[in-house]
This record gives sequence, structure tokens and C-alpha cells, in this order.
Amino acid sequence: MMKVLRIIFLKDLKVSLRRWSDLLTSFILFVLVCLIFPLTLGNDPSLLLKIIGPVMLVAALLATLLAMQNIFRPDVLNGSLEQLTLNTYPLTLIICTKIFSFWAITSLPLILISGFIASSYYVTGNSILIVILTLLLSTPSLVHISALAAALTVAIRYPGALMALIIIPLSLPIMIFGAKAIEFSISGIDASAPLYFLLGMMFFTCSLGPVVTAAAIKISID
Amino acid sequence: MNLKSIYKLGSPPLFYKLCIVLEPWFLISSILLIAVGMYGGLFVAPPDYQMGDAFRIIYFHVPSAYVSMMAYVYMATSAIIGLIWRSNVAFSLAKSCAPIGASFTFLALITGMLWGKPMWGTAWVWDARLTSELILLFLYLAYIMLHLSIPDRSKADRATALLAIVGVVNIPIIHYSVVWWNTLHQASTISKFAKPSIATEMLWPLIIMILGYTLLFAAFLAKRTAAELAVREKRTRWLQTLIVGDKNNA
Amino acid sequence: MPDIFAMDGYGFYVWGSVLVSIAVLIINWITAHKKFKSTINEVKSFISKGKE
Repeated sequence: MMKVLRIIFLKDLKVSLRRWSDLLTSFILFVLVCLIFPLTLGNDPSLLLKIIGPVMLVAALLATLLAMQNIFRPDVLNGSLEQLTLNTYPLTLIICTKIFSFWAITSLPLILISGFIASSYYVTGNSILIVILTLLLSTPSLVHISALAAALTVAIRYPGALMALIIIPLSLPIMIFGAKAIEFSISGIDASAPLYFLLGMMFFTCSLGPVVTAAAIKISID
Repeated sequence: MNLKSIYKLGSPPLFYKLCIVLEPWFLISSILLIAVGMYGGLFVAPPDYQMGDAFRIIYFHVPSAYVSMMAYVYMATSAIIGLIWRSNVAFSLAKSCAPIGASFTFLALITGMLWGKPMWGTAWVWDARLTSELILLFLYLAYIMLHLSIPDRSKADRATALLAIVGVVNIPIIHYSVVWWNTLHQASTISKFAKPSIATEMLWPLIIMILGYTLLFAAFLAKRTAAELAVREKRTRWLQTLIVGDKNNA
Repeated sequence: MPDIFAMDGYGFYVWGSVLVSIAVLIINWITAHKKFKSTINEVKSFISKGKE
């Protein structure tokens, strides 16, 4: 079983790396959205410190939305996802591995660059670690919710903004608490309460997400 | 009332005829109840000592918010039943709930804003209850858009059913948001177990309005479900004889 | 009578919500009714097309 999952994980990594331009696009989108705010708002450090939480999370959401459009569609088009639904291995674990590989390849670069972007927003010291930790805890939930939206819309030829319409209401609690965590740590208050909530949301979405996503895949492929 | 009669409800001819027959009764009784509730709420109930006459908006805000949440739970329940039993009736119910629920959510938000402006000084504040009610509106819209986007009907039914079930986690958040967080929105006045914290002369129009709005929701739902069921079952003999017989009589 | 309309100065908000609620409910009923009528017509034309 683990051998199969490792094969799927590595295969998805290789396939994603072959489409490195898509990954670079979502990464550059993240960096550009984060940088557009200081460029347009001017050089006021207090204002930038106030907005960094929401800006980082919205940028992460948009980058995830863009990157996750390719998680299921190529596999549906070339028929391999249908074969995966037909075999004896549980589809839930296979989907979980796919989502994990997509998280690793799309969100880890964001997490690594977030420290530098935070310091360009005049964030100092311990708060940079909290920003990185917030992104580390919120991106798995965002990725799982995006995978669910992708699975629901994979049967549609031109989905347009439908994925965004499904993702944004479901991911609002994560955005709110992530922004709160960053805001608390910048003001000096202990940020552990929102971080625990993010951890709880991460466990919730990472455990139930693949189950619902697998059901959605089975429905969409039929 | 045994299990067999519940199974019988899943039969399209029976449910269609039930909708057609019950809809006028729901409509008339709901209009009567709403008229009585409006009279009681706007003219009979005494003004609140804290809020003055503006509290009368409660008679429009609370029923629509209640129905908006109830409609979503009803939609999610029909979706689960449809998924498990592959029932056309259940999927028609779920699809019809969405536009009605969305309009009641919109109404709850608008009346809430009209109440907030004189009371809190601001029409909108980003606290837990208002934000989660707005999320509910977006969930309804996402459901409707997903249904419209998938061309194959049974695929659309099942995919939107999954979306409805995933979104049902929002309902306890809306309901308990005033308990869990220190929000600007006030706490519940009516509870199942405690004595209501509102005077009786103000309470009875509220109960009547809630009942009236629920029956009105049932009337709209009956009409829309009948329409949806007719579209799905247009090739069947029972519907064709019903419609053609109608044409002969009308 | 003007007392009822003024509602202690909150007249605009109270009567505004009354009007908005009634308007939304009536629009709801009209759209449900129209949808029902149009689907019945669609089914009737489907039946008559099948008969020819």
C-alpha cells in the first residue's frame, strides 16, 4: 500500500515539475500580490504592519486557487484518474497523496519566501516566525478545500470563477484566524489561540477533505 | 405513520400531487399569519425601553434569518437523502430550496443592516454572526452556480449535494457565534429550555411571524419543487395524463 | 397617525424593512409562479411534439 502511495506521490511530483511554468506562475502571483500593496500604499510602516496578515493570506489563497486548477483536470483528460477510481486501492488515500504532493510543490515555496516578504513589510524578530508558522498551518487547509472545489468542477468544460466561488466561503474561517494570528504577534500579544484554531482546522480539513474529494471525483467522472 | 408512508413520499406522482394540493393552503395560511403578526408587531406591541420603536424590525429580521438557516439544513438533508437513495424527489427539493433560501438570507442581511444603522451607528460590522450569515449567502450562490454549470443532470445533483453537505458546517457556526465569541450582535432571546428574555406582548407576534415565514417558505418550495419534478418526469405517463387532462379541463 | 409613520424617529428604518421584506417575498412568489407556468408550458409543448 505504501509503495503504491509513494509511486503516486513521486509521479505527481515529476509531472508537476514538468509543468514548472504553471508553478512559477502561482509563485510569482503570490510574490506580486504581496508586493503590490507596499508599492501602492506608500512607505508607512504602521499601515504595512496592520495589513500584512490579511495580505499574506489572501495572496496564499489566490496562489493556491490558481495552482490547484491543474490537480485533477489533466488526469481526467488523459484517463488515468478514471483508472485510479476503478482499482482496489482506496481512492481516499490516493487523493490524499496527490493533494499532499501538490501542497509540497505549490505551497512550500510560498512558505519559504514568506519570511522575506514579511521582513519587507517591516516585520521583525519573533513575528516573522509566526508569519511562517501561520502560512505553514493554513496552506494545508486551503489546499484541501481547493482540491474539493477542483473535484466538483472537473466535469465542467469552462469553469471560470466557479472554483473561487466555492473556495472563498469555505476558507473564510482560515483566513480570519490566520490574519488574527499575525496581527496578534505583531502587536505583541500571545498568538497561540488563533494558531491552535488553525491547527484544528488543518486536522479537520486534512482528515475529512480527501474523503469528500474522493466522493466528488467519483461523481464527476462517473 | 410507519416507514412505508415515508418511502411513499419518494414517489414522484404522489409528491407532485401533494405539492400542487398543499401549496394554496400554505400560501393562504402564511399570508394570514404574517398579516396578524405584522399588525401585532408594528402596532400592538409596546416600544422597547432601550431601542424605542426600531426594535420592531425584529419581526422581519429574526423570521427571515431563521428561515434562511432552516432552508439550508433542509437543503442539506434532502441532498443526503438524494445521494443515499438516488431519489429524484429529494434532489428536486434540494435544488428548489436554494434560490428561496438565498433570498431569505439576503432579506435577513438587509433588515439586519437597516436595524444596525440606527442601533449601532453602522450598517455593517465584521463580527462572527454577520460574517457567517454572509458566508451562507455565498454558499447558496455557489450551489446555484454549480448546478447551472454542470450540464448532466444527475451529475449536477450529486456534485451540488456534496457541496451542500460540506457547507452545513456553517450553520452551527452562525447559531453559536453569539455564544462562542463576544460579538456586537445580541445573544438569543428565545431558547428551548430557558424562559425567553423578552416580554410576552412582544413575543407572540414574533412567534406568529416565524410560523408565517416558515409556511411561506413551504409554499414557495412546493411550487418550485412541483415545477422541477415536472421537468424531470416529463416523459412519464402519469405526468403527461395529468397535464393533458388539465388542458382538456381548463 | 403620523406617530405610527414616524416610529419615534426610526420611521425610515422600520418601514424600510417592512417594504423590503414584502417586496422580496412578493418577488419570490412571482418567480416561483412564473417558473411553474413556464415548465408546464414546456412539458405541454414536449407532449404535443411527441404526438406529431
